[in-house]
Amino acid sequence: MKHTLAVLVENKSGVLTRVAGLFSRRGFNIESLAVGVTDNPDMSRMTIVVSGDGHVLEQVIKQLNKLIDVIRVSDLEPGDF
Amino acid sequence: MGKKTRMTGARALIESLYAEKVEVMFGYPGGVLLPIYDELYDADIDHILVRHEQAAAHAADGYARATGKVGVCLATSGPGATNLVTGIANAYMDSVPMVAITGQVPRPLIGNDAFQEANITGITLPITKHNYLVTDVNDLPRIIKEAFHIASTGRQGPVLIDIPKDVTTDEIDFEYPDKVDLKGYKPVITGHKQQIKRGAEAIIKARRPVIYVGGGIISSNASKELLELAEAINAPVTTTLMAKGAFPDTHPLCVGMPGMHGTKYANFAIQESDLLIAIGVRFDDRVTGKVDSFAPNARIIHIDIDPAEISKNVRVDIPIVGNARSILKMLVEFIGELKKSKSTTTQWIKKVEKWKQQYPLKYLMDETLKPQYIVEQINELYPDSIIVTEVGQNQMWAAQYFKYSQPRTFISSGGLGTMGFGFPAAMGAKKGCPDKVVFDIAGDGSFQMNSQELATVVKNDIPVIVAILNNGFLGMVRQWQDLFFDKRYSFTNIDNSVDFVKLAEAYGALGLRVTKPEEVGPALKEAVDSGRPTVIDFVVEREENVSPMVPAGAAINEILDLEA
Repeated sequence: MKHTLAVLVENKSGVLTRVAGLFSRRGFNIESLAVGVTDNPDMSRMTIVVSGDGHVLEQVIKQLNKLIDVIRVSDLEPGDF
Repeated sequence: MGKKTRMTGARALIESLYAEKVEVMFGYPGGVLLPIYDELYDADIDHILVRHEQAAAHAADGYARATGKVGVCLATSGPGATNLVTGIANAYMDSVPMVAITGQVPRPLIGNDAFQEANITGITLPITKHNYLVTDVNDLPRIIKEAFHIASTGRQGPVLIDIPKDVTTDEIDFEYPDKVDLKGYKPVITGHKQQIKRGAEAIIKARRPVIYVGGGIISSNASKELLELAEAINAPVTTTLMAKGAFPDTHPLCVGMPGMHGTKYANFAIQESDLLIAIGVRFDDRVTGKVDSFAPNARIIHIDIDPAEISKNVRVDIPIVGNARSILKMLVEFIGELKKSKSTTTQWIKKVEKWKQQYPLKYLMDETLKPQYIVEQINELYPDSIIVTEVGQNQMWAAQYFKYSQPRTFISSGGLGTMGFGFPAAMGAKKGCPDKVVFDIAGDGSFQMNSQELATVVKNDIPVIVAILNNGFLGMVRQWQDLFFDKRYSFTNIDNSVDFVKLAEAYGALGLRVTKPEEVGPALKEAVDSGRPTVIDFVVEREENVSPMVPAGAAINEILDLEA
């Protein structure tokens, strides 16, 4: 099952590494990833497609939220985007 | 502060550490740290010069666990920083509040493979709660404020700050911030009221409840509240390795440690329980054994500060996220309102009590020197000590045979299982609690991983006592080879590696050797009374096994007796 996560992060160097590193060391799979600035230059938005069941998704979201530079994680339902 | 003062980055670091009330730090100088060390020369901080950076990290860790304050360590760039890595990973696994400060090569050289350059923020990414590379001196006070805040709040953990040399010489109009503003960091402290009510209702209905507690009780200083809960609902309490001392081992409701080398009765109680009240624990594999067979009949309430721990390893029925202490307070209140009658668990307690009598922890005492006996003697003579351990058999015997009654009196590397942790951590604990007798219960293998710190404890007069349970083996691995590899002791025999008495004396410490049971007490007294750093070489029975034991991959009620 694929899920699309919208992840609002601090626009700082190293944040992409923190997020990508988290996925690899916890064994989560990234299907695709895009990063762009938002209207607020202090923040970026990452759009990440992950595959996995509900348990994996729950852990991905919780672990992402633990990163200090991650401001908000939203799980986009099909139709939200 | 209020008023801004012009100063260098190095000075600003010291002022910031003052603002965080740092009294003790452990470190080792180096090229890029020269400006910082020049400030430390006459700073009002008790800086302990270690002999290896790994020991600085473990000492900061031991200091933090013994005092509840943030431990601070400092190392230079490159090898200095990488030598901290094991200590940082150790603190991360056991959720210990620590701030590690490293020097970095000057900004223009970063990324050029400069002399003593290592990308320590990259290296420590997976083993820190957060880390920083300071690229502008003006950010330094804010970063230090944030680092101490992050390390000491929520689920505690290590934070690393990497400071390039030229940042420490740049000038700043120093002002220490009053508060932190981190958009992405808002730990949940207060538990959800409705969830706590659901928990209280489940507890009222339970007939065979077990309270399973971990390090979260100690980090949140919730021992008193835990005692209130246990007595209010009359339920047995099992304390993990990380929770030793969180609930008195001598209390009638205490069933000791769960899991691989836990008590049989703790494991039986978990397996038969109808409600597991898990607080500040993470359902580690050493506790659960075969996870599918863990507490098969129990509903599970899980109280934890870290939402990511909920349902990570085990499915949870009633999660409550927040600070254990504040949640326990509310939980006890709700239970009081629901008027729980203690008698509903009387039958259950009787059953647990019967197991306790049937399957006590035991070992065969004969004329030889048994490691368990040494731990019991330390307990007998110095019950108020802080016990720090190395890792392996020594650690398990220290957990099993000493009766802990106070939090922060048992300090051990739980998650990472770091051999070499105990001695420097004991040094840190003793710096934090100078009035306590501090023992490092050690193995001859583990102690040799950081024995160079004898120089530090002698030079700085930090009188810790290293009790080496010397069996000439890497004992825990030997035990597994004994049980599962047909006694093929592949590279675990380390007998006659060193004369520990002479080693102690070479560093100017007191060295004692004990070979008979009747010499144990007098040697312990001599060590404590000497007021000096001491190494006691207890030459113990070589092939004693830690018992009981759940074989890897088995359910925790499939627990074997291994005593001779």
